[in-house]
Amino acid sequence: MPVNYFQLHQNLEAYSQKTSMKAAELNTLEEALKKAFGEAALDTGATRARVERAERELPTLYCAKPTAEPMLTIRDAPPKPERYTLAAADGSQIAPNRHRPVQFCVINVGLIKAHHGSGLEPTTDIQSELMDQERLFTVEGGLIGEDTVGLQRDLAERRALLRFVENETGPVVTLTDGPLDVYQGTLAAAERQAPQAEVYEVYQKMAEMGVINAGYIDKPGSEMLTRMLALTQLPEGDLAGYDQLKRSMAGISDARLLKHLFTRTGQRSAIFEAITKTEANRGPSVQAHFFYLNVEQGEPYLARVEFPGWVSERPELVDLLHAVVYAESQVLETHPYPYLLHRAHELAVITFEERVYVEDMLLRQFDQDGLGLGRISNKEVTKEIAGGRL
Amino acid sequence: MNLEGQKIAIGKLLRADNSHFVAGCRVRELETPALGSLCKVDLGENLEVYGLITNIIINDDGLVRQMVSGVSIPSEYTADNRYNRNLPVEIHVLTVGYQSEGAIHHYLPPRPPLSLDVLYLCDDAQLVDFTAHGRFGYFRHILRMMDSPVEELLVCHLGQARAAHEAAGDTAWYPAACKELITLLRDDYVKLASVLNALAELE
Amino acid sequence: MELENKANTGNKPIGYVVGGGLEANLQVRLTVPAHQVQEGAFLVTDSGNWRFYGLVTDLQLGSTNARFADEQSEDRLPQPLANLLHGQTLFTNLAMMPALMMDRGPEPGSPGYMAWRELHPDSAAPIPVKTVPSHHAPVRLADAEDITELFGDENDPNNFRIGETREQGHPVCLDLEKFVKRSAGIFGTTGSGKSFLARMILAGLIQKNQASTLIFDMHNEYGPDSASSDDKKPVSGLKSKFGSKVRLVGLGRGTRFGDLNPDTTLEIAQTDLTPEDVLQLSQALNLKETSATTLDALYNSFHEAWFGEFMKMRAGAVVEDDEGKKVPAPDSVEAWAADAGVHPGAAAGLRSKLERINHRDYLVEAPASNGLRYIVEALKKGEHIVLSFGKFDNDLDYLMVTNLITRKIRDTWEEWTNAYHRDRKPGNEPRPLVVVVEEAHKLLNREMASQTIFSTIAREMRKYYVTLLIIDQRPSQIYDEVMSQLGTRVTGSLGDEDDINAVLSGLAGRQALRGMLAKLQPKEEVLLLGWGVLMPILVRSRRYDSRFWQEVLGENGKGKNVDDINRILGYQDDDTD
Repeated sequence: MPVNYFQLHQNLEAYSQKTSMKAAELNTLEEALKKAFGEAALDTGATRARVERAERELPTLYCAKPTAEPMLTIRDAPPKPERYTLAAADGSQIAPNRHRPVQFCVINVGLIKAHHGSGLEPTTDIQSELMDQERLFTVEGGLIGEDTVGLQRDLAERRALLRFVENETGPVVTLTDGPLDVYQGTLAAAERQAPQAEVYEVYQKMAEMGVINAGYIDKPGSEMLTRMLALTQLPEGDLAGYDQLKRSMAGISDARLLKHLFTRTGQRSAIFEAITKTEANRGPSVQAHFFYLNVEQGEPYLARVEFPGWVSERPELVDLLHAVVYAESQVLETHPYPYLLHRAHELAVITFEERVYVEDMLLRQFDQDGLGLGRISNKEVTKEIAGGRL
Repeated sequence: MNLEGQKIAIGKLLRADNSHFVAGCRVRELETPALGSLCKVDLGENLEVYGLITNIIINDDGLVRQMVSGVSIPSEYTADNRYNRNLPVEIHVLTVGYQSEGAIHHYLPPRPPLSLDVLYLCDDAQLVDFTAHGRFGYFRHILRMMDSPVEELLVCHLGQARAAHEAAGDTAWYPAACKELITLLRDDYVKLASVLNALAELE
Repeated sequence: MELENKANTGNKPIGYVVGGGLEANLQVRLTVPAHQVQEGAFLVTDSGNWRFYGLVTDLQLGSTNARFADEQSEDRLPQPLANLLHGQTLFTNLAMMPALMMDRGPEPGSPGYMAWRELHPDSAAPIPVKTVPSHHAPVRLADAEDITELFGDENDPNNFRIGETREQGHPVCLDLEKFVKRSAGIFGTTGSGKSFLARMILAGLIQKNQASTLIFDMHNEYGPDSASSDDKKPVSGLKSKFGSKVRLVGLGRGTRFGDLNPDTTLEIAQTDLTPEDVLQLSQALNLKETSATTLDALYNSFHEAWFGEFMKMRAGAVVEDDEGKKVPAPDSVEAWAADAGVHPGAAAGLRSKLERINHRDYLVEAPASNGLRYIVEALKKGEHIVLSFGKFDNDLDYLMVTNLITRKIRDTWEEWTNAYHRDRKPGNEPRPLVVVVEEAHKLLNREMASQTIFSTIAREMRKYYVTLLIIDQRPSQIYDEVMSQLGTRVTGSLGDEDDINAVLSGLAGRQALRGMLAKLQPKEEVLLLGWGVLMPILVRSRRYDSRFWQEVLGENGKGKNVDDINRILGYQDDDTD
């Protein structure tokens, strides 16, 4: 029902003032951080060593680590190869909802694969899975939540992608949306473990196949570089004040920090390693590396591209990845984003009507089998009427 | 033109009323239907509705619009949009008659086709049968159209029908059709003149 | 001939009725190219039980939108398409003047037929049109049967073929019996072929023998052979073709017809001349108003011999009397005038004016033979007279002689008629007589009309079995009362608008024909109209040539007369044929 605009209006001015104060603070911080970055870049090796020492001492460290590439590296996009295969996968889900007459979970993965240089239309596939009933409930007996479903979905994406590119030859690049590591969120470690391990297995297999799997993060907000700089600002050997310092330096994203370094579209930043709290059995070859990529024509707009560490060891593969991802993002020029990722998303998405249809399918089956039908909650009914859907 | 006997499906019904219907098809299926072609839908119960293709609309969506402004689009992605994505190509059809129990009529059918009924392209024999029936009664449906280019439709349709009739040995159909058009439009100089000018291109 | 419900044989429709009406003519949309139909074409249309007959009086180009007419679609469009526009957006309308209609009844064998037949036991006859055909009634050119139904069959003894329809050459006939029932006229400008027409009709009259004819041949055109003024070809005369049936009479002794001698000559006795005859010539002689009185007095004094006596008198003769005074001589005009109580000056004036007549060779005191009686007897017998004027070819002679003779003859016929009415003796019915006058406007103009015998005859309408056949090129000069009394009018091309109006006078609803009259082809086309024909019709006139004479007279030069024809047609009991 109508918002009390009047009440909100009272706060607007104060809000704006505070925002502008904050913005001014951030600007100051930004300048300071740029300066710090420049200083850290003077000796990339030293910075790297600093981070490694911190890794050993802070098990929950989350920050960027320079690789062999100098930190201030900016590279133009190489020309993309004539022939290559690019595949993308995206997933969506129907999470179980206790308000509905029947509880179920569907995971939908959309896959698309283009053989560049062939002129043929890409191959598409959609894989839909109805989750087993046992997995619908937690140990405590409640329905699983969005985070759990999301994790399963991410796993399903990687698994399907692997099968999708199994028999491809020539240079192969795969793209998924988001970081290489699957969705973490608020899940307990125990819950995360198995799916994560499976994902790493997939990446391992891809590495063996020579398939470059990448993750694409649009409008990245992470502050891994800032946290790295927090380390470099600390006195040598003293990591105690890290937490406090890192909090005081919060607010400047990597993208914001690096933006001034980019002068042309298609340029990438130096490669960094993502230091995250991960499981030990990950394997170094699938450690996440990343660079920032300018996909805009005018004012720089940075996306983050993540890929397994083994790719960094081969500069020609880095170039390949760089060229391919950049070219892909330029297909949609006004709002650059990898075309195939968008298509994969399009293929995966489940509309409301489809949601209802699946539910109906189940209900009919139950009916046929003589099961009593569940009941939609009153709350849900009311919501649907209000939303104009009933 | 097209092979006898083979039923060439060109789309499925999306929506219909008594005097028009719209079928959807994929781009791949676009090879055969042409403006002015005679097509039909089988409603079952010995009822077939005939129509003339008046418009073929290729819709865009946000993605296509974004791609259009891109510098260079890989041919694979052009193909992607044509063949993979469900961009509906709409075939708009003007109802011109129907066939019931084997008898052809040039007035509107008792009921329109239903969703997902299949739209077939008529072959030459069916085109000749339908157009030779009666006295060009179906012209009035065409002439009644307000928002489509009637002249172009007539030219396309008459051109196809003429070829089919002449191939079957009938050279009298086309002059008779022109004569009927002149009779129907003799009081509307503007429309008749533009129709005749369009028909002149057929010679 | 029985007129059953005839199917439309032969001619295909050339159009269909789209509008119009009785007063304004019917509008017919042409379905054939316009150049296939001309003004004056004879059309037929069937609608319901009625068959309508009419003439084309106008052709109009039309279009559904003026732009179709403006733009040359032949340039802009391919030929087949451009052609399709003709007849649809571009069309031609005929104006059809409906004249007659006839009840054909339903199809024989159809349910209503027997009932209709009971109501109409006789063959239908055409009647003046009183209704209109329905929209889209098909219209076609008249065929031979249509013409025959309306204008008669050539083989009928009463019918004389005057020409053919222009479109398809069907023969068109004049019913001569009807033709002579009223005075008739043949009109046309000089060079329109009027004389040839007259010759043909006269030949027909003579051949069919419906009436006797008295022809005042002012220019020697009819009796003897002559030569055409155009191409100098010889033109047969009536005498050479009909032999003794035709009598050539010359006015005055010594008048000859070229090499031909007249059968007799005509001299007029002075005693035949009456004061009325003289008064007819008032204008020509420039007589004063007093002349009537003077003439009356003369007649009182001398009766029949008035003219001779008057001419013997000497004008202005004086003698000396006893006292030596000059007094009018006894044989002078003045002396008589004094006696008769007439103004001497008037008498003297009249005397001098009449001198002009006096010196005519043909006006004699005592004619050698009674030419007049010869003429009358011949006519009564059934022969035909051509009176040639010889050298007396001026207006005065023409007026006087024609008037005088005609008056005499009509008086004879009047007596004959009265006797017949009293006695009713069969076989004594007066023989119809046609008096043929040329230059009729000289005799029948407004000034003279009340006075001449000709207007009397015209008005009498054959009360006494005498009618006129006037041949003239200035019908507008003829007294319109006389014109309106004329029955059949046969007219060639006329240029003058007044002349055209004159020909149409007295005929209701015929104004639509004016255009046609103005455009008749000289020497080729004539229009028949009036009481003597059922409806006006445009005819391509027959040629007056040797073939004509062969047809009229029969192959061996002898004419078929009525009896021959009747026998051939089987109207008489005869075992032969």
